[in-house]
Amino acid sequence: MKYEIIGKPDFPCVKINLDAEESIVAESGAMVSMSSNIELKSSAKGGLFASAKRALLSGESFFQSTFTAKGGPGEVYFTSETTGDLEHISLTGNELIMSTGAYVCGSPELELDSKWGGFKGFFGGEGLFFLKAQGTGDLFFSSFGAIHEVNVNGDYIVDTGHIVAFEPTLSYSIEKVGGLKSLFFSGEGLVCRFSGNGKLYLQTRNQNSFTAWANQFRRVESKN
Amino acid sequence: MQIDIKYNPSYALALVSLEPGEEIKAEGGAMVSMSSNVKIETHKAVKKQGLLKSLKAAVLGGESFWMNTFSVQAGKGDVTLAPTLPGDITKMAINGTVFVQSSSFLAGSTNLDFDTKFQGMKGFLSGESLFFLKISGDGDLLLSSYGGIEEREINGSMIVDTGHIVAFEEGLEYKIKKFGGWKSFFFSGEGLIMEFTGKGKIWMQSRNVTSLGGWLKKMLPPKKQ
Repeated sequence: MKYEIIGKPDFPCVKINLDAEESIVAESGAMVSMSSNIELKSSAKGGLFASAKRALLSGESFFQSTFTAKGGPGEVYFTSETTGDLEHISLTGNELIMSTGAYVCGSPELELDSKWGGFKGFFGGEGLFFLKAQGTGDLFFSSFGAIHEVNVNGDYIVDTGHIVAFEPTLSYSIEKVGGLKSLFFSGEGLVCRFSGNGKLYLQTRNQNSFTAWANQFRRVESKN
Repeated sequence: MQIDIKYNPSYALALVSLEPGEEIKAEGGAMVSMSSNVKIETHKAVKKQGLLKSLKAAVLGGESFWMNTFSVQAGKGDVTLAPTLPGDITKMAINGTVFVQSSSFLAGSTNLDFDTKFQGMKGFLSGESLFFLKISGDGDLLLSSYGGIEEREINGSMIVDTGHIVAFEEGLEYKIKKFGGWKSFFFSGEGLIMEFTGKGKIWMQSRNVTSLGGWLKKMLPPKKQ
């Protein structure tokens, strides 16, 4: 498999060249275009229970689509829903923990599972769960806005709406910023405190803030 | 205080490095991330004045009622800040007074003074809010724009759609007008404009927040109440 990310950093999509009988798995809806010899199979990867858990808890699609080049090589393009960057990493037996919605596509050898993210969701309406990718293969993930990499060594604090992904060597806890006044009035809500040593990927825009901002423009209609 | 802007012009992020004793104040909700030794204090937008003035700033200025001041006591600390909408961030050193469209303020030095400027009732006709923050003093200011930002030196006169104004310097004379005749006002889609005269700088944004709001209003399903 070969890949090329084009249109970086504002409106990227990834072009993947598959050898004959090679496959790639993607979030449903991520496909832009593909060669006609590519076969698409939708399946509840990892079984019904694992798929339901991923769909319900991590906001991923219930069905994952597997794209396989049949009878020769083929190419397929994938992209994300929001404007913003798209990145690739190679996993070699290690894990990457992603925010809900960050996953775009990856090698079929990778295992995806949802992961409890803490209590933030109860207050902020933000994703309560993360998605964990594990195994050996290629992984593509996307952001709303640019991707800002931080090498954490010690403690570092992030608004949960700006987390894209992080390495599992980092531990995290959900906490409030400042005093009680900050909790209610700062507009920052609760934050994630990362500790340890590892890489953290942040996004420079926040879907939750953006959708809350957009929501104020909705018309109001009376029920009757 | 060192301020770097990265990922411009589409999704700009401001990286602020604070030395011991330094601080910066930012619009509520602007914080993306920070070092664990950075202290955050939440206060009203207009700090020194009473509740009434802050209320005025919140209601009229459209700016979050509360702002956050970030500071470090010991050691260096970093804060990263970003606006809600896609677009650029511009850093400017001011020494005097600028009027900033309320949604374009991202952050500034804590020694800057804030007040609000109400631009009259005309804005209500088109649903545009014409409120500016009057920011005075000597310090750094970070402004955000929806889209790119363009600085123009006016010497004479110039007309700008109100939804595209980010900021302008004190000293410029301005009038708020409807665009063309009454028919144009209602049907041209241009709404209100500002006509500047004199000498001074203005900053414009390449997309219009009011138009985006109008577009969303049309596209989004209504709320049931």
